[in-house]
Amino acid sequence: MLIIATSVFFITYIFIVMFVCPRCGNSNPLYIGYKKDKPYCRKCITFTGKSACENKDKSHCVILNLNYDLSDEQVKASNKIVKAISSGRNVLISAVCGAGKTELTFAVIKDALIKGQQVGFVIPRKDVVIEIYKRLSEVFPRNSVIVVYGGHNENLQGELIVLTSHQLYRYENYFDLLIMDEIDAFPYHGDEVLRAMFIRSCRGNYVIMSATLSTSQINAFAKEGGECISINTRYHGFPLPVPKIVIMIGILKHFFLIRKIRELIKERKPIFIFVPTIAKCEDLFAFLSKWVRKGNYVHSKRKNREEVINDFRQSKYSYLVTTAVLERGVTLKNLQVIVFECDHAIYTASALVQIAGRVGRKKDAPQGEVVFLSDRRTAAMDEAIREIETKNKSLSPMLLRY
Amino acid sequence: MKIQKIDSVKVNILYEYNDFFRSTLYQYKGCGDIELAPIFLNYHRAFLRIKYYGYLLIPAPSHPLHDEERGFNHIIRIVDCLKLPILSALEKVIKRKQSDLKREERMKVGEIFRWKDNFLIRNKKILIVDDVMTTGSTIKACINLVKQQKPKQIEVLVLAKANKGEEI
Repeated sequence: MLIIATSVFFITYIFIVMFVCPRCGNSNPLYIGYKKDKPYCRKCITFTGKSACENKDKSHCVILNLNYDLSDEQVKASNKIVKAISSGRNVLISAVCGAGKTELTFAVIKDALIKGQQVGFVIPRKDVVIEIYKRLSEVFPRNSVIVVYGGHNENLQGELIVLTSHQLYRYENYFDLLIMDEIDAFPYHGDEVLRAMFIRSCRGNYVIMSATLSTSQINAFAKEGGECISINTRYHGFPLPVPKIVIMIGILKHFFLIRKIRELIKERKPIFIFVPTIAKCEDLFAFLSKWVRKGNYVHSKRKNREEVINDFRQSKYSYLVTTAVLERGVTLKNLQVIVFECDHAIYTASALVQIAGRVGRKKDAPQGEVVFLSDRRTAAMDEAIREIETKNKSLSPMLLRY
Repeated sequence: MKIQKIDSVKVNILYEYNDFFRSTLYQYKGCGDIELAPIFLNYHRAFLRIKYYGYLLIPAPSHPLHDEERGFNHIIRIVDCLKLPILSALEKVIKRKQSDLKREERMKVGEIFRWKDNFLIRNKKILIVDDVMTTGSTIKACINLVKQQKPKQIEVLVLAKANKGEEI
């Protein structure tokens, strides 16, 4: 029996090992199908659609329209990036939330655009893509900046393309400079297909960045000969807000939440309440709306969520119940954050650090409150707080100067 | 399994039309991932083989050009495991997709189906199979065409029923 099983396995293995998917490099026999005796890859089969042609009209004329100055540290770091890219090395940026990672890349983008190179800016999350697109089209007003994401893919050519990681399959061997933000975010993180697509679409050099990288990841990147740049201070020089843990059992959590929201509304501060799942998001909002007025909820299945977020920005709502969709890349003045049911498995240490990093991102409101509200204390919560504290410690000699 | 009646014909609905079903069907039908074919009836196979013993199976028609693009006929592949005789007796004359149309246009679907002349099913038991039913107009048109041939009995099997707003 065993002999038959092993021989069958080997025969199939020998047959299948010949086929390696040209798009995603998959050679796992479990993900290879046969249609009319021809092998095809089942891992990347859902990536179908038209791919982009080469963009011919390039202006070479770039205006960098920034109405604020970068801090000394940012200027230093962005000079480093430009130097590394021009010498043909890849760059990894590990910077705390609110360090101004996006601004660091403006100098490189400008450099590449002047040379007439094709530039791409990739982020795994759709909401963040739209956000970054707005910012980039303001910063580079003379160049054609376009945005590509699922459901918005009519125009595929431009000098600077902002796109989600799922749209990379349209651009084979296309970008001279590819910048990827939030590399540890879902769905890009741990997805081999998207990783292969990323490598495949980049013909020049790439810059990857994130706020929550482990030291092993940084070391692995340095071994490959890449340039690592790490920034431990926010651009305004203030420390990251340290989260508070509040342990409450059962329904008491809800009452604490109501009291806290009312307190913060009195101080006229916008509030994000993070919940782990979509069902809980709707339930909690149904409960809260009976007690506190002027709120709304957002999750990935909600169709008009851009509108809701826009309304929230213009402070039409005072609080927003949200799932992890708004965990990254949102900048709002004076934002306060409450994480509801923080003991859920989706809240890993890095996710919690990201969530805490939403607070105090503006210069005129550098402090804020982060509350982890849950039934019990988890290892992830402790680790997140420890991480934030160590980053703040490395900054304290700088703070003494103020 | 849910049962519904259209024109006094029993329609058996196997699954709920949710996101998972939609994405799986898209990967199978839209992207042509043929290896997914056995999974749709895997759970119900034994039951369906007993229930529909002695029936003749007629798949809802799809245009030959669509099948050529995909590389296979999606419904025939799914129902292969039932081991029933399959008659591709219905054909689609015009190439167009039901899911691209609006509700009013969908109702006219009867005009674009045709019965192939060389099939005789008088006094046979017939099972019509389709993947997704939205307004039910495709199924109705099929039933009308099959009824003209005077079979003994007609039943319908669909994988899922979508509500009006949500289609593929």
